[in-house]
Amino acid sequence: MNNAKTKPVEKRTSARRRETLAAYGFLAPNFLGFLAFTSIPVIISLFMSFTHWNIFKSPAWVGFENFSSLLGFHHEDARLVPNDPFFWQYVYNTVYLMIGIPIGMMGSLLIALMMNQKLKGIVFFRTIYFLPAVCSGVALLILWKYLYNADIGLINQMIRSVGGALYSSPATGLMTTVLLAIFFGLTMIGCVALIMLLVMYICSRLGLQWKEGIYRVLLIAFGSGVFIAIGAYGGAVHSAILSFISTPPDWLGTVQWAKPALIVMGLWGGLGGYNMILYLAALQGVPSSYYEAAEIDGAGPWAKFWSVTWPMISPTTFFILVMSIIGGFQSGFMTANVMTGGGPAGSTTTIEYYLYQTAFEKFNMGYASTIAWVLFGVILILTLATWKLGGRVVTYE
Amino acid sequence: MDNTGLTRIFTTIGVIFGVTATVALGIFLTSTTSPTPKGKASIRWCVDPNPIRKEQIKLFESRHPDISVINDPGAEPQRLLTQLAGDVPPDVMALYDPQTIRLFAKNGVLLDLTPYVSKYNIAVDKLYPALEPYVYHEGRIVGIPENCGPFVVFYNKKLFREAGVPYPKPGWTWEECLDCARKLTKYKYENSRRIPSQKGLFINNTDWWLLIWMHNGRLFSEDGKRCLMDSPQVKKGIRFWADLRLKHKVMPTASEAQSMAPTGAWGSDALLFRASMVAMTLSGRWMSIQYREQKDLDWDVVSAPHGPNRVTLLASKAYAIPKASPNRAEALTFIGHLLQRDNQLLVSNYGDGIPANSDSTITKAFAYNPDYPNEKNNQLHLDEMKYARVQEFSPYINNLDVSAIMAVELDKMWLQQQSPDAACDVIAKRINAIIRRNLANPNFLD
Amino acid sequence: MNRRTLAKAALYFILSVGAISMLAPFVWMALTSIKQPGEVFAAGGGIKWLPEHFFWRDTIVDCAKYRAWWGNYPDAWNEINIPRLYMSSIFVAAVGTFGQVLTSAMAAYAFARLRFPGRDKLFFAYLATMMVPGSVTMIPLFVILRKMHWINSYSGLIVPGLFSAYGTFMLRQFFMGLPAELEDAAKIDGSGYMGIWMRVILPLSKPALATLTTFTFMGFWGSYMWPLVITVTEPLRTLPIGLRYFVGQHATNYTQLMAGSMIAVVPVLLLFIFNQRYFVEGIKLSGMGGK
Repeated sequence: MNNAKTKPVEKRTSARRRETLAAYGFLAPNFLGFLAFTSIPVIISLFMSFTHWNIFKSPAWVGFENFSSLLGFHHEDARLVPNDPFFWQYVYNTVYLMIGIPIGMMGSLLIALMMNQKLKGIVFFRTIYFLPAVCSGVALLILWKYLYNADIGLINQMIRSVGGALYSSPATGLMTTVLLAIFFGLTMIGCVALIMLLVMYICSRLGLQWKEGIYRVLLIAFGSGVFIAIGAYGGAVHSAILSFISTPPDWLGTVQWAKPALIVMGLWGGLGGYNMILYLAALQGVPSSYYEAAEIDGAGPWAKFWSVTWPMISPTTFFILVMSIIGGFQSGFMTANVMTGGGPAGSTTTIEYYLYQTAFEKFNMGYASTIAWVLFGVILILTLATWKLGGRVVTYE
Repeated sequence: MDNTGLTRIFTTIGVIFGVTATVALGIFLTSTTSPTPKGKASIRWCVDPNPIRKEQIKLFESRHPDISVINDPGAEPQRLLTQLAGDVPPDVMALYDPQTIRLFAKNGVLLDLTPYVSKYNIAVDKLYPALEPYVYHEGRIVGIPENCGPFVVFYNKKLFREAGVPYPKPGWTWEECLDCARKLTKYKYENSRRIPSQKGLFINNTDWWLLIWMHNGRLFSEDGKRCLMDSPQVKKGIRFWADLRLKHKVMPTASEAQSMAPTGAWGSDALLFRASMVAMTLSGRWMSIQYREQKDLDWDVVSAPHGPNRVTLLASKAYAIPKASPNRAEALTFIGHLLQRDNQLLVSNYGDGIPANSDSTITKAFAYNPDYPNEKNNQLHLDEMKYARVQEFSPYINNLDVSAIMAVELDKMWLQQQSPDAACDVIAKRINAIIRRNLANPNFLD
Repeated sequence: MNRRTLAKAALYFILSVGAISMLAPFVWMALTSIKQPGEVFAAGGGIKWLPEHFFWRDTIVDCAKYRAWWGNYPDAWNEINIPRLYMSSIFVAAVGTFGQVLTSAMAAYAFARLRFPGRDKLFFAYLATMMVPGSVTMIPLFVILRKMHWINSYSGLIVPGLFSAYGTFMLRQFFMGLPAELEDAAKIDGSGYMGIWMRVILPLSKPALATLTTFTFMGFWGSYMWPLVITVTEPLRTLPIGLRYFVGQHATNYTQLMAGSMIAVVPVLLLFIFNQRYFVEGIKLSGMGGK
């Protein structure tokens, strides 16, 4: 643009300058507040992560010592052990609990699509689905604890009675097993197919040339996998179901079930919550003329969703994804503090809970800042990755 | 369209009304933010909320009309520390365990109360000797406990009668307790499943101190530099505890109990006891606040069972004054008042522990409370103070690390993933590793 | 029956099943708020749904019974001075929400629609601050506010919450999705940036603005830790702090807590229901002069 003629350039630069000035004007109120109340505390906390600070005394500079204490390893009895014995377990817990994010997003979108229909009484349904978000946290907690109770909990009672009825005679038992095996099998196949589609989609978005090759490889792997799986797992499903029904798990009381139980709880609460509302607002933003145009082209509902709705709401999907990643790493304080106490065997303690305890119950603010900034680094990398990928996948009008 | 025009008018009216209302509300609210009349000092009392605090404030203000007290709800550490760091401290704050008191005192946050004892009539000499860790730091008085509670056994008299078991007597042993608990554990059949309908005994997962001490074991060595969890005395106690649940099955499993509790790990014993699903629980007198609510519950207390060593756990909290408190004189007056007879009886009659002031005029009035038929036996709590001991701590490891390790490894024991002995060994190893780290790098300590 | 009706019926069925589970906690909350303290949990363990005294079984003419199922409300009301807490909460949430939505909408317009040097870098800095957990930034923020003499004031309660990266990010995403044609049309008509923002961007993003308003209001309304830290005296406290009085160290007063929570839910629900009408409008491109 530099080699354009003089006059338009002048005009354009003055227009540019006007635009820049306008942008600064629009930014000013938010930016000044942001500078004073957000960025300064954030920078101070970065400084604190290099100090030893117990809140009462003035901070003392210790360089990278906190970081090596947190992330480092040392030898003990000829074994490599982490300097901080708690941190890695809590990282694992936090990441595990984030499995629910994509499922929750899909669920929210599905509910939002339903809520977007022109049905009588839809406002009523929307309000009801939003209720868990406004309900007293204590009420939610008590109910979920009751649901998950091993003996008297509603979930286990249902598992026992339904299972007991189905397996009362060999014929119905066999039928149930077969049906469940088919169901799980289809789910598995669906998951694999979904992953395949996702890979293909990303490949095509990124414009990768080896699309054909990967397609074939995946198809072969998938086909042979199916054959092996069907044979191997019919019996496994049967015995698993039988033991599951006779002694349903103690959801919050066992290490392997506590996290899935918390994930399900989060999913339920999030179905009609913030993400659904965001999707709903995004769906409202899709101009109806686009659908009309697609209809004229002869698109069915499925095609309409993928060609119009999905691209149009992709900025919101991107927003929800980024916020979920940021929020996911900083979550778990409430449930650990009031519901599980972080147990059993520390399996529901998250980094955020550890951070809180380190800062305010062990008075080790310097170390807590270090945890916070390590966390920051992880979230930043993930967000950057999402950002780069999102830049290609997300379509802005 | 007419409709849009009308909507616009309504919207405009609504916006104008909303803005005016908000501005008016703002003016009203900001003009009425000052709660205290001029010339009257107001002190801020930071402690967990409790209905009795209102009565306590009323009593204090009637004695000292020139001072008003604000009860700050929630002594959340996040808030307390932020306000202390920001130099906006409360005037009187509650600290809940000896190690925190030590940390605050060591860092020079707490006012040394020693010079003020006589002037403000603070009855330190009347406090139970067992409360010493809550009161002193390096010989100086820094905290004043208002109430405390030795752990005792609450038992459901009705369930004892039904099972034909005689009521337990103070001074009983753990073996006698186990025997009772066996007889009080009952099962029922539901869809041909045998499930417990009633359990004999419940001890909170976090109250391991009693079991550690019952055979004269200790958690830390004298100098605090070594964890003695792997000593034979401790292992014997922990084994006994594990057997109660896993072998004799007289105690609800961790999850049976935990999923009953509405908030956190705490409180499940109270719910189980109130539901008559557990015949005996081990805790302090503050439980009577809840048990009183249940009018049809027939209960009494008996001393905590003992092994070769007769000892029980003592819990309390202490009030301290931050050095930076802007109303030092008033705060001292308040702290002095807390140990006075009327306030002591007010708190203990509400059910929140026993008076920390052991003066006979107070204990006599406390011992018998005709208002509550289940609480004729208050003398027992006072007697138990002879055997009560505050939880141990080492200056070289934070109690939070200790309880985190304990929780994880003991949970594995309850889930039968490791034996009690193995749990003790692992706990000792992990705690000692942290102590070693802290000794090598003192930055982790203070 | 044609396919459309069938699909509709299926949709209603699915939504209803979900709705029952979503209603459960709210119903329990409402029912508990009219129970007596001893009836919160069932005798055999577990929770209890129905209160023992119910208005259709015991006539409300009987004064004692009336107290029995309705008394938690006046009790909670008196216990924690609900009118004052309510007014404080409303004021803080109203001003805070208005301010936050305004500044976010302005900043988001700049980030989404205007070009200026360093735009994306600055925006990423906004995002990055959200990645630092609040626990470690609270003390520095508190110290800053003390230097400004804003401790224990409405300014301290409201102002730090006005400049949210969340709102900016959310609105930016929505603004970026708006069709550019309308903006160009307005430019040709001679509108300035302010005019475009006011007359094109904001009216087009009503659903997004309604969403952010709801979220922000809920954020201010439910905020617990910050008001607890920043307020020192009683008159400034907000509802969540008031409700904290029912949760003691050794006993929680569930019945009054639920009565208080029921009272506290009302404005949020009203706002949500009110804002619903923006979700059904959508963008009417034809009304704006066409695409």
